[in-house]
Amino acid sequence: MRSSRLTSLVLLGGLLAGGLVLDAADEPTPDTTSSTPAVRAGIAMPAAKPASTLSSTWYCAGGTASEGGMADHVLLIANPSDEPRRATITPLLGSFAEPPSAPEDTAEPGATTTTAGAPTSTAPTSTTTTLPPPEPTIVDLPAQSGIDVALSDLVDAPVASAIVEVDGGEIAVEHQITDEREDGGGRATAPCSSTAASEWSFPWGITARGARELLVFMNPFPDDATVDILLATDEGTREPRRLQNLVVRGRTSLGVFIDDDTRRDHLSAQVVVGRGRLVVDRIQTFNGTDPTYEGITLGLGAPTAAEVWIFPDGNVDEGITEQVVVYNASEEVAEIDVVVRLDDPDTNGVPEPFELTIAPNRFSIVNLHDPDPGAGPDVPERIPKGVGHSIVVESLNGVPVSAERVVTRSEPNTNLGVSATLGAPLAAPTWYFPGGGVSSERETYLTIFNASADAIASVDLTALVGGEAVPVEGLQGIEVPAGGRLAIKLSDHVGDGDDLPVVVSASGPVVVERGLYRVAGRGTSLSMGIPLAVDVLVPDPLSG
Amino acid sequence: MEPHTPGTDASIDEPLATHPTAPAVVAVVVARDPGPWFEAAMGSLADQDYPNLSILVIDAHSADEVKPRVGRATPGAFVRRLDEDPGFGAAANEVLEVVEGAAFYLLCHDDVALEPDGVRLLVEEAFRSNAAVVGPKLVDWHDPRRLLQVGQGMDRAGYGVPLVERGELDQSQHDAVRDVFTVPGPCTLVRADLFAEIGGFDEGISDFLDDVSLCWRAHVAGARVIVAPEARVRHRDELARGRGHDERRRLQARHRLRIVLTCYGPLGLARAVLQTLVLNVAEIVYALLAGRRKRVGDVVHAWTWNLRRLPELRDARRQVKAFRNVPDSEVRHGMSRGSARLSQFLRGQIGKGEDRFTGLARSGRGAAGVLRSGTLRASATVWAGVVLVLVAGSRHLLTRGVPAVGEMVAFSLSPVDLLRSWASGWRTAGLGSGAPAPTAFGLLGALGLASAGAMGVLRTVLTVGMIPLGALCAYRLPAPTGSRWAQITCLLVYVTVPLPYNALAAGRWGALVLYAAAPLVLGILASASQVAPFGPVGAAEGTAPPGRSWRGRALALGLVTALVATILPVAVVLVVMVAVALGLGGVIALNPGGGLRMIGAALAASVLAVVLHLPWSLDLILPGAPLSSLTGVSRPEGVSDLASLLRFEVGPLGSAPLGWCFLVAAALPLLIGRAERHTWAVRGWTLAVVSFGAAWVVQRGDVSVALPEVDVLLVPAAAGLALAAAMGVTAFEVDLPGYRFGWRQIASGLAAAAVVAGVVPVLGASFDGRWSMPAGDHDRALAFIDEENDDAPFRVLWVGDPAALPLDGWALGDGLAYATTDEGTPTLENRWVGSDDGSTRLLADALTLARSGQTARLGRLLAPMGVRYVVVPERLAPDPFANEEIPVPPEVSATLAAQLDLEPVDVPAGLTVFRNEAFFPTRAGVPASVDLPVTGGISGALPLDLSDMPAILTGTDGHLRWSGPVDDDTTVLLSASHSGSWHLEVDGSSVDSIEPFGWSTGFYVARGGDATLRFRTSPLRYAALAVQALAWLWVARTVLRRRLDRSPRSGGPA
Repeated sequence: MRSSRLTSLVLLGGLLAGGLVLDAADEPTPDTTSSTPAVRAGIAMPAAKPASTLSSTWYCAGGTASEGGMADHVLLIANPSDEPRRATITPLLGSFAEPPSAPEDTAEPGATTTTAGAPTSTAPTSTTTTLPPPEPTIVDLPAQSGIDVALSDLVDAPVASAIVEVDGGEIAVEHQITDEREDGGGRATAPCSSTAASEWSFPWGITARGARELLVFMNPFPDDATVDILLATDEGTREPRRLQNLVVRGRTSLGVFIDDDTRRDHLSAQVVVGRGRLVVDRIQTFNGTDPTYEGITLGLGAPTAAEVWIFPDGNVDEGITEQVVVYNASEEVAEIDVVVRLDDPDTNGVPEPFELTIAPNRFSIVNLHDPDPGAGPDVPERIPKGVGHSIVVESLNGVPVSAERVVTRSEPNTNLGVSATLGAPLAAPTWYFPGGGVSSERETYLTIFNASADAIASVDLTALVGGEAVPVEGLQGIEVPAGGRLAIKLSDHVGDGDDLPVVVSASGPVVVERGLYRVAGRGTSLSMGIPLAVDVLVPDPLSG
Repeated sequence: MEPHTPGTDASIDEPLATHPTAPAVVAVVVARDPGPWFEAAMGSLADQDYPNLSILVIDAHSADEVKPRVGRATPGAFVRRLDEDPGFGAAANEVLEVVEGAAFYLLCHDDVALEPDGVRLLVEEAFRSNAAVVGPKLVDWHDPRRLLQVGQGMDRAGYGVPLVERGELDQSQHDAVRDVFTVPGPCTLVRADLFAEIGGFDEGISDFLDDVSLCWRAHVAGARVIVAPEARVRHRDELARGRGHDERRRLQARHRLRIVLTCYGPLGLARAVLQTLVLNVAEIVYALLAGRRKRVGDVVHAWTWNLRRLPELRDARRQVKAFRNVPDSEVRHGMSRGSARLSQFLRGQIGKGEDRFTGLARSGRGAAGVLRSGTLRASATVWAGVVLVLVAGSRHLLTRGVPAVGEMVAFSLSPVDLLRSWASGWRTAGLGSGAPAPTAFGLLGALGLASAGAMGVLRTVLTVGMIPLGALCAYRLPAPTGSRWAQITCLLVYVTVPLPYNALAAGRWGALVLYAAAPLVLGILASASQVAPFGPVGAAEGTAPPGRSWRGRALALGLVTALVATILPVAVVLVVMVAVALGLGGVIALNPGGGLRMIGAALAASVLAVVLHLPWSLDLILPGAPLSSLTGVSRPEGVSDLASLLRFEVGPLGSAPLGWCFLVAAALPLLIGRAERHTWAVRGWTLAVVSFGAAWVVQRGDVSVALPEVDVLLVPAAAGLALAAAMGVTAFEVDLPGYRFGWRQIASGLAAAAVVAGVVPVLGASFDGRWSMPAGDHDRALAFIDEENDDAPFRVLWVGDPAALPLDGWALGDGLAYATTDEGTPTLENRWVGSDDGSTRLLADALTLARSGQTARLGRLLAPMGVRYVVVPERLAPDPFANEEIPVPPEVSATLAAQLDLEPVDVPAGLTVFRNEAFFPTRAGVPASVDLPVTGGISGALPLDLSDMPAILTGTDGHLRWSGPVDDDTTVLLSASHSGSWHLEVDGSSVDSIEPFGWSTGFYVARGGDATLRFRTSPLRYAALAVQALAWLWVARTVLRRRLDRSPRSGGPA
């Protein structure tokens, strides 16, 4: 009896005690990174789906489709795949929101204010008329080709957006806007969005005199959406009453001029969708009141923040300014390094990173073009003029941010304009550029950044011409050093081709940016390409 | 009147000769095979000093004619012999036919002897008190100093209230003349006119309580009934002895009910029936607890015997109505208030001579027996407390219904519909399939019919009722130990384990059903082991219970397993796990005997359960069927650590420190138990440890295969611990006295305190009246779906965490599940989904495509499947009924919100609902101009916008049969998996089927007309179901028969 009692006590008790010890040892540690949103191709930035996907859906929000509109909206659809596709284009009609009846007020530095008093109810403060969406238009997309579709050919509306649905993957869609007003000018091209989201951040924006900032809210879904817009200025955050609980009817678009509510040299906008999901584009126009800013820009906001933003292209020179604007929409202070990597670092050196500490809901600007106070005859500028560079914005403490780079070109340059683009939070081997081309009036630059820290990237460029993928002469197997970049002037390799979709294929993860420059006059547009969501790399901010 | 001489049968039409100076009294003696005392009895009549007494002996077909004996004992008596024995009452009624002119009848059994002045005293008192019925003092034949009866009171349910203690010493303390409700039946003086008026005895009552009936009817007629104790009659009670204890009790029960049913007026009858019913139910419960199955049979027999004689009862009631001179209220005035039965029970007098424990005492088991008879009342008290707490804790569920949350779907289908679903061979779950229907449809349908369609009540019984059932089984589990305290402890531990309450709170029906059956399974396995105390192996001489047939045990276990598997299919595996764990426990205890027998019985039971569930079980176990169809969809890693599992804290109940009480209570036998008590405690603990371990593995997400839910796995642990705790008590009773005073006594005290302390959390949890179940369910929030009345049939797609879904589903990945319902909230048809092979998987494929970002038109993909709404529950019930979130991964919500054709619907928090704009009806008419693809699966639907397709065949002609007009050149599209059993007839002509989308069912109708679409069930299926039903009946009958054949005193858990 004694032995059986001992056996049972030892075995049963041991099992229970062992389990308890093991359980305690396996106590899960708190996941400190769980608050960081995942960066996913197609969500964090527009991306083309793989060939095998069932369908691709693109949302092109910002633009107009009326005669003399400020942003005549043209869709640029590329089908680099080997299969013909069919696209269904569903335009969404929209209008502009009524401007506020009262002028903006000022805010104390650091304060959060709501103009015209806080809303007393949750009732919508602004609405648009429900407009039935027009019938969809179906267009064929031959293999290895691109097409342009002007929305003004389909609809006539003050604001017009479009849903592009294609029956397969490997489809890239950009859109282009052209200011067709008499006093306007300029053209901008940017990727459409491959997702709708509930938050959008716009690090940069100008509502000063002569500048207009238009946010276009596209609601492709059946139900109404509501949004709240928070403006971060250098004096604090503001929540204009008109921009709170703003209703965007289902399957419509709504354009809202932010400058109707506030006038600032700089502000960041944070769009929070209270109900539903939206796609939000920003159209920024300048009439030349400030000679530094001329032209028009187009770009999506950032639907998710990220810890790394890569800008392959960069340059400061006479008449060229370059800003990096970092916006922290989180609830924590962000410690940021803006790392500028000069071409040929052996010769040009390695500048010290720009260190930023950004409070929640605040932005910080790095003016790369500003003279370096420490520079002198024997000390070179931190960012020397005329030296090409790439920029990497890194969060050192894991607080994700959004970062935008703004480049202005003014005299003495012949191609004028302003361009703003978000960086790329990821790298991929394949990038698509549905728009752009080379002509006597336009130059195209492609800048390739090798995101690998230790491997040279071999890059091929292919143009989609006449239903064929044509390798671009001289741009096959070109090498980009690890962590380095390579800028290519496309006109040096191809002849005339105003509409010339391009595919960049690399042996490793790269980021490719395109610059479109009007040869003479307003029209500068820099934007990231559209990566193919295959073998995507999300860079680690601490890996260097 | 013609005088009759001894030895001559009495004439029917001539009165007996009487003495002229006193009222004529005729003593009517019913002789029924009287013993040697008969002469003495007759002699006592002959010796009466009453001057005008005649004697009539009714020979109720005695084997030996009594006439000669009568002649010798009472030469002046008359004898009338009957051709058969109709019972005392009917025989005595012969006097009405053969005697005229008598003033009184003295109705006597053949075993009474009156004192010489007996008749005179009775008659005098009748005149003095103006009584119509007068009874004497009944004393023991052999010892006239002992009282047997001096009349009785009566309660309103017909139970007698003795006025004297039987066997009490007669010291003239009861000699006052008084009104009573009934007088002693063996000797009764009744006024002849009254006797004639009320028709004599009720001839429907053959012996036992015929005196009660007579007196009750005398009261109804307005007569006075008194007892005159000065008249003393000795009595042998040979009638009762001759019939035996069991038969007497049985006859009394049925006659008592007959008296109640015949003697009350309409209003009084209703009240009395209600009171009797309540008493009978209580009596049944008591009898079950006391292990007296015959008593249960008596009660049931009483009702069935009477209900079979309704016409006769009606006649009897008419007869009573005819002579009723006194209302019921006045009759009741003479009755005792309250329940005599209950009073007797509370005084410990119940069933003296009939209670098995008293019987034990009498049989010489002395003090132990007395002690145990005392614990019967303790049991009753504990049970009363348990029932009180369970009823109080479930009061809102009992009165307001059990919300349809989790697995507890609404029983909204009628029993007939359920049976049709069972028989049809078409499953509506998912996109429909020809898979066999769950046996539950048939069983629940049959139960529904048996409960007269009261499906709500049935649902409450099958959910909330599982807790008391489990408690009852736990109480019976340690019965073979012979320790009532062990039974009480087992009951307390098992009923206070938080599992069933947490299962209720989470809507876990399967866990509840297993909870109810687990002690029974354990008991049968223990019995199959043949090891003491559950069997003869190892039992001390003289205490060994009879061995049971292993085959019988396996059969019983198979039936129980099959019943549990009806709700919880994985039970067929769990029963083997339990047996293996018990066997392993024997090895650990170094006493492995019986282990293989248990495992063998479990395996046999498991196979039998699978066979009984054929053909449904094939759908679950055949290769290709996902394991989740047997176990349910596994949830992602849980939040409970091992310590919580050990406390059964898988819900709102079970927190420390009181949550540890069960372990403390169950640990005692490991420390002090000896012999089989220690062995079975180790077995119980091993079972618990195995269960805890399995639950822990599931909770940690260590295995990728689908395993049962944690609470299901913990149920055997609860049963094992309860068994161990019971063994602890037995060890306390048997083993502890062998130890010197020391830590063992202290440990025993701690264990006892732990049992008591463990009750506290359940007491606290009972206050909310619903065991933390949500106060409502999805019905109200989703009422708009049920109320869709546009004649367009549709489906609802449910996606979410399996714990939040109000129905069973298929695995979607990432711990999610999906399921469908037809046109609204779930019904029983959606409770069991089976395997998802076939086209149902297309639903998951569509969701997966959307989740992987391959489409923003999920609605269009789902449209051919008839999905009109997508519902994502993220709580057990929506706001405000439940607060705890059971969220889906954010990516799922984002995916659904990002669909261009899914429109969110405003619903309370805890639910997300999307309306599919691309929906078209599950029976749609598609014009020929629409090119329906016949290949391509779900992707073929993407380019098609069929949202304006009209519903057709909207008329329902029966189960799976619809009709209506169909236009020319129309494809009748049925959003259901393709099956050759679907048939469409247009104007009587059959139409060939096609397979739109490569999976669906369609019919191209070139020339329109009146069409009927129906599902044809194969005759083979009906045959298979008939075989299945017969198999169930045979097994149930066999098990029941074996059970009934067992000795009532053999105990045993099963």
